[in-house]
Amino acid sequence: MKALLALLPALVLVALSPAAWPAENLDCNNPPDTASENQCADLAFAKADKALNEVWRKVKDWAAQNDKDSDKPGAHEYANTARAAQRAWLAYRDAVCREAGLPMHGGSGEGPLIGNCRAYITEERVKSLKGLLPE
Amino acid sequence: MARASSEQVDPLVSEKMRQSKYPKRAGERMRASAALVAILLLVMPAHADEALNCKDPQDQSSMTQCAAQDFEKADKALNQIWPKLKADAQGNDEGTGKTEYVDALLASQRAWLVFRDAECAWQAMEMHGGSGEPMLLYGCQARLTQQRIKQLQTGASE
Repeated sequence: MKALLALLPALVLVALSPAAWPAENLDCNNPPDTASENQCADLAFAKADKALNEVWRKVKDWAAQNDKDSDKPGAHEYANTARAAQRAWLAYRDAVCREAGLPMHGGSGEGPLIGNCRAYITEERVKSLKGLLPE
Repeated sequence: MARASSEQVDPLVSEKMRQSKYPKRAGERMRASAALVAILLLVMPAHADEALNCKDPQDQSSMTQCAAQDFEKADKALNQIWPKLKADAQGNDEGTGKTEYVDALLASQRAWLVFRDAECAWQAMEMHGGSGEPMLLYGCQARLTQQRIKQLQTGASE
């Protein structure tokens, strides 16, 4: 109990910080200000990134299995080429989204532009990777 | 006639950039595949124009040719929209004393080219070393090029 009381100020602070209650108060269909736009973009990107990590794990396993099953060991490099492609995609995403942020470069609106771009490009990547995986 | 198209295409978006910026092997690979397209287009048309049916290609050689045509077409379309994209970027830079927009456009295009080739090498892995590999490569390059065109035209944050 004492320990809990000692933690109370910290708990209050956490509860009061905007990050703790984004979902209810945030209208991401129509964010009213730049701070909300930022939060919404972060949320959208976090969601897309999570989906990407999930599908990527499957792609990686699938590629490794393909390498293992290959009748000519070493002739097919599924895992290596998949990794190289994903690395190149990341560089592409960052380059494209840097470009997308330019209209607000240096201003507070740059963050949401970049965040939304990264979310969008990541969603597209998730779709494409899902399409490549066998049923 | 399709045979001249590889010479007509503005080299900026693909070949020139790659050669100036990327490791020699990637450049060689691309030159080799460009050469293959050129050879295909030069060698085949004699009878292909009447025989090639890309709605329902019947053999590996036709399938490869059709995929190569798809890629040529997409690459040409990309080269066609490029001058306007560059002019827009230059317009945005005008008066700023900087070249941020142009630099960012070039950087994203270069990154996309590296991505396209890495992605397509992977997507063609299934037929690596086989006669179907070029077909998969061209098919993938055509698809990614069409997506890139769409993205360049609509913006990346729609």
